[in-house]
Amino acid sequence: MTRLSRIAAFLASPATADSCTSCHHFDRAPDRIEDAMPGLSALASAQASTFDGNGLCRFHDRIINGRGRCPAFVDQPSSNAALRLA
Amino acid sequence: MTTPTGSVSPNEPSAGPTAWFAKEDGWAILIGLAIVLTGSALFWNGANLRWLAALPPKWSSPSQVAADLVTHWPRYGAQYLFWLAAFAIALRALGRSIGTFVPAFSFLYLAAYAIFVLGQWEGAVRYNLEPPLVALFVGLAVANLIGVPRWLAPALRGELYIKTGIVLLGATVPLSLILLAGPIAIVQASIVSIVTFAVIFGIAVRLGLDRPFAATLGVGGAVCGVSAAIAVAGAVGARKEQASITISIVVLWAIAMIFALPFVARALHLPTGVAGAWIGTSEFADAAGIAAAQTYGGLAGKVDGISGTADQALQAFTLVKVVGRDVWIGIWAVVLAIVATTRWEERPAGSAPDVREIWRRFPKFVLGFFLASALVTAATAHYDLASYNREAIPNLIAPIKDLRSWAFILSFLSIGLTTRIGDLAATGRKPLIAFTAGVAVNLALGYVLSVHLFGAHWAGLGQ
Repeated sequence: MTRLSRIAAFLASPATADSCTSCHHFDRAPDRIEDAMPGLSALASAQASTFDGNGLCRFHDRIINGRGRCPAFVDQPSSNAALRLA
Repeated sequence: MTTPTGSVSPNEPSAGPTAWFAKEDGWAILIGLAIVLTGSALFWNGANLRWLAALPPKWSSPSQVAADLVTHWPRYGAQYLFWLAAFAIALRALGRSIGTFVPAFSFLYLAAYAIFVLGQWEGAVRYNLEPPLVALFVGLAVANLIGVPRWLAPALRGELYIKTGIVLLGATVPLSLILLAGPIAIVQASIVSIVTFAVIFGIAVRLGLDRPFAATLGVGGAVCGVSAAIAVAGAVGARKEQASITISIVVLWAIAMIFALPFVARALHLPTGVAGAWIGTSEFADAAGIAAAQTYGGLAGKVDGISGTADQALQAFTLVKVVGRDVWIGIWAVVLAIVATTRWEERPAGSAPDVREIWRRFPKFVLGFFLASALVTAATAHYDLASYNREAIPNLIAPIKDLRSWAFILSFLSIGLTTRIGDLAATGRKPLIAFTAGVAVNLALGYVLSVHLFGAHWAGLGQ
């Protein structure tokens, strides 16, 4: 597969088909994200449009957009629902 | 999208009108446009917002301040209640507690009033006591020397206040000016953004930092500071520690530039429009840049050798920073996500490209800025210049401008009070070197473009 065709395939693929947004490790609670990264709320916000659906992957300790599922995925939707604006 | 349990997944970006009010940008637009629409409606009916837009008077004796307060306390009270209600509703909709917000905001408003009073003192310019700098300095001093009580934290939403202020700023910028100067702002900002990103990214990789970290650092310096850094960190799957280090470096440089850029511009006697464009090119955050631009604009007419108007500094800044740099965040995020996924060895677990992010990450408050401009432009379209200056400026523009000043001061105080240097992540030598190299190039290139290549354009902005 050429590089261009790989890019085209990514753009065409459904964005959330394999998301990790319901993963037990994914945390999107604005308060906790702002607490986890001092300085974030000084000049930005976890509730800004630019933040979109970013969250914190507690397993990989990374900031992610939640659109790619990895082998560490653990489905726990109710947990994340409770985290929405905790 | 519903989960198997039937609840809406919190991590699935929602669509439709409700999505707008799930973010601060939507509320900043709503609050800002409500003020502009109300001001316009009153203006058409021969009234204005002046009563609500109370501001302490110029003074040389404290008794003048006391007399103003005795006479106008109902106006300050009404304004306090207006801001309190507007921001409380917004924050409640965003999932935050009103009960803790009310006492915190009350204290913040009183502090903002005190900052305004100090800034209106006749000796303020002589001692460099411009309100934005004082608000930041006082906030930083309290946060880092005394400590901020936890009960004050719910009111420290600098981003919401600054976005509301930027929407109100749109009402003072004619649409024709945006259309005329916007393309040059975009060209200037794009040149500097691409070069700055390339420098930071290239040096960071050469120093051995991994590419997600280098990209996060690069956009932090090139595009829109912390907001861009977090957007791209999510897109490329940067480690939390790397995002924290980038945030720390951006905050430290942004705070330093708030004081340094007006100081250097003053030493060089730059016209206000030129300085505003330079600040727009070389500051790292909207709030920080507005503090610097407003400070420098405040010197116009008060310090010998500084030509132009206060408005020119803010307008040039906003065009270059907000229109020229901020709106491209989504494109940077998507392009770097594609590059990370297709070219970098370490694939970002948990992140993947999605072209729709270009819109979702678009800083929506910018639309409020454009709408406010369009509304006021339409409301005053039938005025010639003389009647615009005689009628529209004092009765429509000036009250909006004064309310905007309150929003900005609330933001500057919040920034100072939330910036605790000791809490910021230790940056390490390599990221600091890479970012600082980008700062140096950004400053020099921004100066050349603002002063020499486009100097005449920015000096005459709106004239």
